[in-house]
Amino acid sequence: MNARRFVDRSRKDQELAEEIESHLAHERDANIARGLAADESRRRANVRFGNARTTRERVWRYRSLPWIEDLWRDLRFALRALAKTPGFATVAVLLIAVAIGVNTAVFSVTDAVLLKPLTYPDPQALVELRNLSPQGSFPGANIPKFNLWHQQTSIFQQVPHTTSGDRDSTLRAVTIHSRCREFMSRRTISRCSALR
Amino acid sequence: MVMNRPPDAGEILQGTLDMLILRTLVLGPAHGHTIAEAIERTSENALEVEQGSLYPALHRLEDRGWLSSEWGVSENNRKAKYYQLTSKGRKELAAAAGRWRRMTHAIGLILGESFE
Repeated sequence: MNARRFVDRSRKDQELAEEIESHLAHERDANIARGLAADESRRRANVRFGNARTTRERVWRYRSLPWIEDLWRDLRFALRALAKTPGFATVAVLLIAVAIGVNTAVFSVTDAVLLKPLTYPDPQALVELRNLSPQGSFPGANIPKFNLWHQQTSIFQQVPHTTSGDRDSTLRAVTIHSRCREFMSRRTISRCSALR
Repeated sequence: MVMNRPPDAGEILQGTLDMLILRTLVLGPAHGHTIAEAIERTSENALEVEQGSLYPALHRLEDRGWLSSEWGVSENNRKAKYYQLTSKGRKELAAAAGRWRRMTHAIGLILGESFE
């Protein structure tokens, strides 16, 4: 693309207007030479050329970067519209600000709870032992059961437990082993791991 | 005003106006009105230069450095902007004419010589 195209537009437009005027004058001369009256020759010259302003606009458009100018015009229009109704503009700005704030807060929590890895070495190796029954799966064990888990399982490095806080505490077993890659909800782990 | 235009008079194919302008200016500097007239007369009025396209084309060609221009006085004793072919424009004309000939040759091959 040639840079010459975009510079000095006003002067070039002026020159184009003169050029078109000159063209029409020559066309008029030619028509008069064919024996037409002055009025008719002028009319025909104009009809033949068409809309001179459209031509100038075409060249002007060609000498511009339309999307930048459109963008600029849209921006100015938006600012004018907002300035016209300051109350609405204020509410809109505040609403957007609050929305962004809430979004950020929610994401921070989501990030901390769900997305960031747990602050333990090899967090993927953490699993929770659960009971399976036809009714579904549930966590928890009484002390004898926990002792069984604790002693009999050899694939886990460690089987610590957490308590749910009640006095007659149901035990939840959390096991750690590097070979065990079973995926589970990290939120469950973070709830349990504090009491490891 | 050309009233005795053949009924099948066509508009100039898109993209060929530039080439026709360059070709016309080989004969010497000319202003827009003369260029349009020359194209129409030389094509025996088969082609009509849409005058709204002529000046945008001239300005585009000048921006590309294929034409240069200066104001002068026409044969009618009127002010007119004269366009002149540059050496770059001459090269472009040769290239464009070559492309055009190859294209029409290829299309001619497809249509066939004796097609009526």
